[in-house]
Amino acid sequence: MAKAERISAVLLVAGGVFVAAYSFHYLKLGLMISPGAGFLPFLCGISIIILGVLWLLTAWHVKPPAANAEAGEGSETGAISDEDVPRIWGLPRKMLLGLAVLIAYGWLFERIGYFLSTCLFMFGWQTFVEKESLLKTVIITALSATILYVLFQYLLGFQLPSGTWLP
Amino acid sequence: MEVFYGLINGFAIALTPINLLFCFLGAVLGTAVGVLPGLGPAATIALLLPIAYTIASPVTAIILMAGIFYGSMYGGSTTSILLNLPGEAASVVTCIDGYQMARKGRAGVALGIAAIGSFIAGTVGVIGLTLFAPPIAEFALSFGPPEKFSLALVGLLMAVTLSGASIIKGLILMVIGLLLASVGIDPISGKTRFSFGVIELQSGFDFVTLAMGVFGLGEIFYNLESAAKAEIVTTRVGQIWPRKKDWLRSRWAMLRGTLIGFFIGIIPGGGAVISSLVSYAVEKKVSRHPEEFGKGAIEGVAGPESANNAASSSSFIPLLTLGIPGNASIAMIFAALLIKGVTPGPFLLTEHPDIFWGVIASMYLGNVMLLVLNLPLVGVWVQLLRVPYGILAPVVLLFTAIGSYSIQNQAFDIYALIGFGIFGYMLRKLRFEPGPLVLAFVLGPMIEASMRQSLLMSGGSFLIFLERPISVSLIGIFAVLAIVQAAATLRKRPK
Repeated sequence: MAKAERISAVLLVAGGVFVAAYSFHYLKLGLMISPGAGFLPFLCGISIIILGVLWLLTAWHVKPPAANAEAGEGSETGAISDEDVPRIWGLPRKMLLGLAVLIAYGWLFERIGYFLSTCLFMFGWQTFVEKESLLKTVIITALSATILYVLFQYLLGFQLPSGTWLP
Repeated sequence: MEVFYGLINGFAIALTPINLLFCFLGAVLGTAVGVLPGLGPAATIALLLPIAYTIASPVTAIILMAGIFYGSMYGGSTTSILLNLPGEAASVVTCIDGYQMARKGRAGVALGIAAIGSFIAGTVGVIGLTLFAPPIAEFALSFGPPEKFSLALVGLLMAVTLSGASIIKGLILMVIGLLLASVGIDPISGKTRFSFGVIELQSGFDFVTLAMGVFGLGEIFYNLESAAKAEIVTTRVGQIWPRKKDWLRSRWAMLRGTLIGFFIGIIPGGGAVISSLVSYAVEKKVSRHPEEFGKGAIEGVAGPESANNAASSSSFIPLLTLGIPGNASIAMIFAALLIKGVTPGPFLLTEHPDIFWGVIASMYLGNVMLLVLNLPLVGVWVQLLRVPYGILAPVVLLFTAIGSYSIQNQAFDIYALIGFGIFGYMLRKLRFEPGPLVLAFVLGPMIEASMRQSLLMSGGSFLIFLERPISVSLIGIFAVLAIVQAAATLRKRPK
């Protein structure tokens, strides 16, 4: 069984314990005739603990399918193999770069407004993630920011921020 | 007669210029999504959910979403046949014989029979929807809280157990979906759940943000690691219209595929993917030339393509009549209805006949549009594969981020979207099928409310779910299906 699944299952059980304890102590279960706010979350917490343990045990005992099998295909357990570990916990460079650019976009979106932040996002994406040439990057950035602006602002009538940092 | 009048009224609604336009847009977008690998129908409908807020009429919004859903089934076959690359999951099985036909210079015939089979099955599916939906909706009017609870829970459990993916992982996601749905103010006690002092969380997570994150962002992040360069399409399409011999070989496969798809599509968790697999297995079993399967048998294309289209039509039956979405794409349409202030279920037919019949009528029109779009324009769709993923991916990300922000005009939703995107990415890495998460999330409030009402009715006894005939029948049906499924699993397991 892959280390990734083992760690995930343990984290899931820990999450279930937290949910059950939080629901029991803070939200309260109420009475059977009139269940409280914590009743369903408590049941969910207990179910997560049980399912987490089952996941751990099942994946331990069942032979995993081929490393490149798709989600759930050909396997009743959906277990993953040890060969997958480097792919799971290794650093997928493109994905992390893309994520970083997107987080920066979310942070800047209201602060510098739609247009500037979208241009920066696309410029950053094409430069760092795709490693495109400067000319191509500039063209893609200008075109995509303008087309999306027209689409959202005029065709769909969305209110796009103009930027709190800008005068 | 009521059905007839309802359908005529539906056509009057669907044939208005704006609805025709959105039906066409849905068909075009759906075909494009089906063609493009790495962006499934559920993800696309999720990406377009913010637009549902801006479309004034609910019937127009649902016509668009429905068009994307069944349109993707048509488009999915194109890349399966020409490139051995399924555009969406329901077309995986079409690769087997469709691509072999293309290699033998019969790509056009394979595409033709796939489109014609899709049209026939899609239309028959809609006819079935027209006939079966009203009586089921009428029957469901008698449902009280215990029946609603059993129906929603059994529907969810069936979606998890019959989907063919890992049952434990499906159940885990189902429970997490229920938990995520409970975040925010409890409607009965007024207590805030799991907000941890974050004001934006007091109103709970927005379905659009969750769906766009898990399906849209999660899929993009995952594909970033393995994004293959678009292949240059060199396969010659050739003659599209099938020959007499092809017709004779395909007609029964289409009919069987249609029936299989229609009935599997009604079952929660059944849907297009399973019906296409079952249809392929049946065709191989009943064929006089099973040895030809895998080498370009036309029945291997006609059957599954008919099945997945019939299933996409019939999967609207539980949504429109019982308010139960059977798969992730239908859950998105469920959410779009809620966004427009319409609750799907038995009252839809009586309270919003315009939506009920308008959407059904639009599906007849949409199927005709798709046939016209897919047969002569197949070359145009294939060119879509030339769009570099390096442009498509960031544009989709921008679309999701801006769409998510626009719901409440708050940056918090972008962070929540990114969080769900990372979660969706990890689910894919750990081989979880994210469908049960969104199904449980949309059904969560109904499950909790009907459970609490039922317990109040019974004086706190869970036996109420076993004392009501409809409720116990639903539980019984699920128990039988679960036992059959478990037996089949045990039989398959190596000794």
